[in-house]
Amino acid sequence: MKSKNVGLYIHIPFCVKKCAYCDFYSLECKNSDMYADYSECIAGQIRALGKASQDLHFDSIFFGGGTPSLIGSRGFGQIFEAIYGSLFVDGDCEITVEVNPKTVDKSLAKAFKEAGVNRVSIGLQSANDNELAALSRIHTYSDFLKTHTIISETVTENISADIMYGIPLQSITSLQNTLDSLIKLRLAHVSAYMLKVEKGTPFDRMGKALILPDEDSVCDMYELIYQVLDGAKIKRYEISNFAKNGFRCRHNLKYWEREEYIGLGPSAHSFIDGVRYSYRRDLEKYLSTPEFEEYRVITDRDAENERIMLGLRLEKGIAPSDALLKRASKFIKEGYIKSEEGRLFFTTKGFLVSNYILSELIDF
Amino acid sequence: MSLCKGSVLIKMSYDKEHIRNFSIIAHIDHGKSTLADRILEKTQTVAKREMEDQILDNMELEKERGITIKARAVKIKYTAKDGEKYVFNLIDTPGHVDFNYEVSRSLNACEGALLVVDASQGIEAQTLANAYLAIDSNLEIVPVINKIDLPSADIEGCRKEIEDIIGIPSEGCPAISAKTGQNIDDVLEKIISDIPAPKGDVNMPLKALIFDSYYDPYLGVVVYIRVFDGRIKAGERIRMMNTGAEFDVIEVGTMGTFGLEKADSLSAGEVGYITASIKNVTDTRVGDTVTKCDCPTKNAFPGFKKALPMVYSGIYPADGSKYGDLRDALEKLRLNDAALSFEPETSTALGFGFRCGFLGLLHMDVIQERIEREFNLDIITTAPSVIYKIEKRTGEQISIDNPSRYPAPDEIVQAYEPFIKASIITPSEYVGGIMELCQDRRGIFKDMKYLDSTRTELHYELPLNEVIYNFFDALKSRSRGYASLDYEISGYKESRLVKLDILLNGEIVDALSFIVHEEKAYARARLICQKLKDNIPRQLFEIPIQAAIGGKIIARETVKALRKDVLAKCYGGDITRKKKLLEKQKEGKKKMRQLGSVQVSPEAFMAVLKFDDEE
Repeated sequence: MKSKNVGLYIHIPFCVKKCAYCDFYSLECKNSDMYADYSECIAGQIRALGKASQDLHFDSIFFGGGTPSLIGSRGFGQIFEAIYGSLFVDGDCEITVEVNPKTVDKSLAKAFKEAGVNRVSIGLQSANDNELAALSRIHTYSDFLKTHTIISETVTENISADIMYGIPLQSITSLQNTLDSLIKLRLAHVSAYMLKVEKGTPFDRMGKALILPDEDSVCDMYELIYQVLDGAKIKRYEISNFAKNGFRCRHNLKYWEREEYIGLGPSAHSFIDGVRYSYRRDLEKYLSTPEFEEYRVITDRDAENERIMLGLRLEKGIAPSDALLKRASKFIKEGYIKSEEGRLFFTTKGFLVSNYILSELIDF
Repeated sequence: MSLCKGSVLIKMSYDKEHIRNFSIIAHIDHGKSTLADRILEKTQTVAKREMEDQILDNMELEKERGITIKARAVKIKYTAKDGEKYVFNLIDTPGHVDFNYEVSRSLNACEGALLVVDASQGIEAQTLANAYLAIDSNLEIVPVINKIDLPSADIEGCRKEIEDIIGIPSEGCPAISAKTGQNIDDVLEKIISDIPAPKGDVNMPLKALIFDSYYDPYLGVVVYIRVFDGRIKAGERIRMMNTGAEFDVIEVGTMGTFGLEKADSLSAGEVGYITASIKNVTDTRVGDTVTKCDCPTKNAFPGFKKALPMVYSGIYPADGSKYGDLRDALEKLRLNDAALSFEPETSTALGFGFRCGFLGLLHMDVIQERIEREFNLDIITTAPSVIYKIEKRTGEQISIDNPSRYPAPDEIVQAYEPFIKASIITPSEYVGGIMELCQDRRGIFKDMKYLDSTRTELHYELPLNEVIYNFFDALKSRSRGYASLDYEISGYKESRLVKLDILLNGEIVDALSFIVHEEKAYARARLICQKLKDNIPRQLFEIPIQAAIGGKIIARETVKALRKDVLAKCYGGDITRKKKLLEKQKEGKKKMRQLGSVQVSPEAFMAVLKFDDEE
């Protein structure tokens, strides 16, 4: 039987406290029985997956959330047992766990190590405590440092940190401070996300009471991030992702390069055998009978649009068709897009207005 | 007597003495339709359980706005207290100044009118206007004081106003509550005692007045008529005396509550409908006289006029590909509305659309809303314009209903604009604010009358062009909703007008050009530039917005270039979300109008065109 490489995403929908800006599917939950029940449910799904698809060869596994570290060594034990017991896991598999500061202790770190976790992504968001408080995060910068030390000493040096820009109280100077802190720690990877006020979040409900840096400052911040990280050899490889040589996230690249992945857990998305599907954002439902929120067969036209939409997120861009090149010409003229050596890719200025431009490049 | 040759003298086979033809007239919200409903219910024309509120206003829009747009009629059978059986023909009239001509024709079809006055509000501008119309039509007016169930009702004050202000006796006039049904019988008896039976002679040549018509897909145009002389029946050849159109009558009958009721004939004094395979309502103009071809009446009704549009506006589909749908919608609406005119128009900014003429602002609003609701079309409408008259250097006189066709300043010797005579009735404490508003709208004060200790009537001459920009709303907001307005066109006056052009990125946007009085040009130019700035989405380049008269720039704003529009997080494999976002953005862009290199959304147009000085 011919096997194929796929990624596995496992969604852990629990948080100690929901952040004011976040609209990922996650519930505030501190009940360890629930963690165990959920982990067992995921383990069951994995065993079923193993039986049904013996041709799948997993070369990346990603625990995202939520706060995956919350399920603790017991939860990870249950899940990894199922993974190694029923899936074909590549010897070189990238195994990432997302953690939040204050949720990882030494014993959990050890469990990660033993389970083969070789990449950890920490939700830092900012190195400035006032900004962390404004985001309603539960940690301070020193909490982050403690978590970072535990991970680098016990699990791996392949550590990524998430930061945010365009957040309340932030300035160019305070962002510079966050970036300096990251560089000092010699991180392998940084994800920098622009704050977007999502519908229905507490930030959204604040309305005009929420004071954010203005549009021009936010753009300047993005340019600063690009320059500072680039100077530290942390190179941009996607709009919001930066890595040292050899430390790009294989799992996330699958999303942008339209490779196949299977997602487990409420709200998780999958793309396999030309079909995209996702599970309902409903934990209880998932625990009883998982139901699809959507199920869609991808047509050739969809595929080309996805290739443009996702591929142009990458620094290296895509190999354009003649039609695309023609549509892009006015943006190339204005310096938003470059066309070099058979590749089409956004400039920094172009990344910042990429939605505006993509909506003209894509032919739905 | 001039009988037709060969006709047989008709004996009294119907009882004209027991017919009463009447209208109900009132100021808006004084309870006209509620009274009509109650009369239908009392006379058991409609059973109470079948009673849908306000049966006569059957257009959805009419119900919502509480106004009658189209005239309508219904036949009611009533047995009086003395046991005599009567037939009432109730002819409902449109309740707005835009439709004054239709009102006067409807009134001409009657012998009397119930003048409904709200006991808590007293006489308002349209009460007076409608009362005068009824008096002009020689109608017997029966005042009815309504809403006596309200705690604030002042019946005696109301009686006094009717006598003092309108000048008709109010002794013994019914005081009722149409809402609760109290004293409705008094109204019914009063109709019999006070309103005369129709005159006219069934043996004279046919003479009937058209007071309304509508298009029915199966019957063709259904024409509502009041027969004054003679008799009409199926098979006869008839002529519309003003339009000259001739038809063979297919069916005649009367208007039942729930539909048409076929009859053998309609005779002098009766109200009913005819059908004659008529394809087009423009052949059945309100006010025209119907007669027989082989034996025409010598006297057509005087005063026929074609309803002329007073206000013009461009209507464009928000989605350019819906041009054909918009044309279909307008054609369908015109089937029922001879006063609506439209012709194709092209705008560089908005593409293909139509220049539409309306009787007034309400008429315009109603048409626009019906296009959107009944035909499910999103439309962009340009600023309303009146008809300007221009004397050019060449000696030529031209009429302009579209600002983009306004000649260059050096071609004009003199410009003229239409004025109205406005009558405003208001509680006295708001007089100051309203005078200020009229002054601000270039009004010429004519006269002021104290109607009683609390209310004042103001007379102004106002440029129509000022009235069509939110004058009603401004009047309402300055009087907490209490002031009422009635107006009629008084003619053209010389005026110092200029055409204001709006430029985006250096190019004139024709759809945004408008005519304004010289003195107001600067203020309005600044306002429009500001509004555009607030409503044009930021684009990849900076967009200068300018307002100019001739070649001279008089106001300027700038839309800064867009720097940020990105979904930074595309994560967890959720592709759908991003795709939806882009699809929505693409959809939005499709609706955008390309003005040179600038994209403007329909919403931005509307925001600019619907500006409000009171803001």
